[in-house]
Amino acid sequence: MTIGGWIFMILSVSLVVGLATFCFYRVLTTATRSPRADVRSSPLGQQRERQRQRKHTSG
Amino acid sequence: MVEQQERWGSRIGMILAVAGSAVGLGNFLRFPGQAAQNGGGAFMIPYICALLLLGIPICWAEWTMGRYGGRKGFRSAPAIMGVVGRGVVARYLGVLGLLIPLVIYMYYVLIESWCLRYCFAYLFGGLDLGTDPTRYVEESGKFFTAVTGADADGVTLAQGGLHPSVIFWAIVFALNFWFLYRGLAKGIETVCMWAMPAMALCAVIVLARVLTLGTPDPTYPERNVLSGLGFMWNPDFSKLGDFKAWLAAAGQVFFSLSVGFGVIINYASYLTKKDDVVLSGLTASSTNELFEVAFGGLITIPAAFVFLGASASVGSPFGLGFHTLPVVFEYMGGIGRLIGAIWFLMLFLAAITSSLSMLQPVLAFLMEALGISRGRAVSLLGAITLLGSLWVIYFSKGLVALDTMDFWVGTTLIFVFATVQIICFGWVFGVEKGLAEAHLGAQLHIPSLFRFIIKYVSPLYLLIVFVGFCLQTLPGYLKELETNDVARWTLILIGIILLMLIGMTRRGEQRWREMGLDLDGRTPPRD
Repeated sequence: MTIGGWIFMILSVSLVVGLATFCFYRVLTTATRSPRADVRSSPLGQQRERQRQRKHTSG
Repeated sequence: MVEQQERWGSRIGMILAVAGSAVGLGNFLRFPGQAAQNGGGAFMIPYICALLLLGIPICWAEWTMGRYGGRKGFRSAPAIMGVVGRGVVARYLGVLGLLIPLVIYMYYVLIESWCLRYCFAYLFGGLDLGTDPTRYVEESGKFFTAVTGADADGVTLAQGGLHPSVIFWAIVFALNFWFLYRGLAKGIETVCMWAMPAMALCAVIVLARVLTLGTPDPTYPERNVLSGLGFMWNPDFSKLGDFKAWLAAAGQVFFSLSVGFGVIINYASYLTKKDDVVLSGLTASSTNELFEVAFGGLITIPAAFVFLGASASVGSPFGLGFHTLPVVFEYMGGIGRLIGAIWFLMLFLAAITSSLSMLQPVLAFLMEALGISRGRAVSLLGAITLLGSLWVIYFSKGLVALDTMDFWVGTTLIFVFATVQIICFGWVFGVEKGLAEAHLGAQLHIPSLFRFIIKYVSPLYLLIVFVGFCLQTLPGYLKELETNDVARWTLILIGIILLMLIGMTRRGEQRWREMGLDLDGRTPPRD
């Protein structure tokens, strides 16, 4: 294994590991809103959510 | 039209499903061979160029087109291409996005079953290369021929379907359709959520064993792990002056990422405009590269080199994976059987996550075009792929039927479809509009340089690679068509499947028009 071989191997592996780590970190740490969350955050959705909770506690 | 309300269960599940589609046997078997033959470490220069100029731009284009088509209510490649390419020509060219996964599945499921059979052979016996090391290679070759039936046509079906290879094929075939029937989130996504981490774990175990092999045979001191890694990674810059190395790198990136397959376009159609496609696409691509470079680049060639030397370390992917590596595992002794089982389990997982992704686009099309339920579409798709796969099993001599399908559909048509896609995205849909669409909900900004790359560089790069590929390989395959009846009839079979899909697209077109859907992408999505 020559020095050139070491350099190419380490750079290549580091590049793909680094890129995958960066991407997964961004994916896992960035909050995404689900369609259900969107429904809940709308005024009509909030009203329905309150009604649902009231019904649930009274029941 | 049966409304397809399916959605992905989670974002990470969807990313792993796309990555699972891309990670296949080529990552572990094809990439190391290509690198070792085309400059070793220096191969990474054309490889990274192709990744940046070809792979990732087309990948982003596919994700964006898929989601755009999905926002208009379509799930299948012909309908989505019709919307993005604004008309009937793009729509019928989109049929390639069905033909490619459908035909590839017909032979890929067979290769997948070989992986499972090898895994079982290592776990429960059945793969015995004897005690004489000088006969390992010959015995390994015999086992491979027995598994594939490559010595004569119909040999695996001659025992009334009780040949072990046929039994494994039937199990794997049924397993694929069971997961497909369960649906997008419960089936494909669930499988990928389990299979991808399991695959990574298997790869780490095998990698750890390979890197700790040292110098197993003191009579050959030059055959050690460092020399094996050197054989794979020592740069030979003289190869960069050879067009073949650039061609090989572009081809490897291109096939490895599963672009031009018709899969990404379908998977992305289940997203909404609030869902990110830029970061998701890059994450799926980077996962594929992780498996290819970090695992494929460090395991296969060094392992083969340590026990068998340089001459046995390069060859066809099939030869390396199913013929050479079993010899390597035999040399490892007792633990070799366990490592062999883990290795073939890993290949099986890589294969099943890919084969599932080939079925879903066609399934979505059958439901969308014919207006039938998922259950009926699964049955119809099962019948079509069963016939095609039986064709490949029967005409097993020299693996001619498999090779013909792989060359004409699994290689050549992928180039054609990717070219159609990137031209539709960059020129018909418009690169400005395309990138604006890609940035809806995006968590990562595509650098503005990619406007130029997507519009000019990628199509030109693709065209040069395609012409080079045709000049290099087409004459041999054309000659085979003249001399080999099986190759000719296999091509006719592909033609019949294409006509059937065109007929179904025509039926779908009529249905979509009757329903008042915007087939030609005249108006923006209403969401």
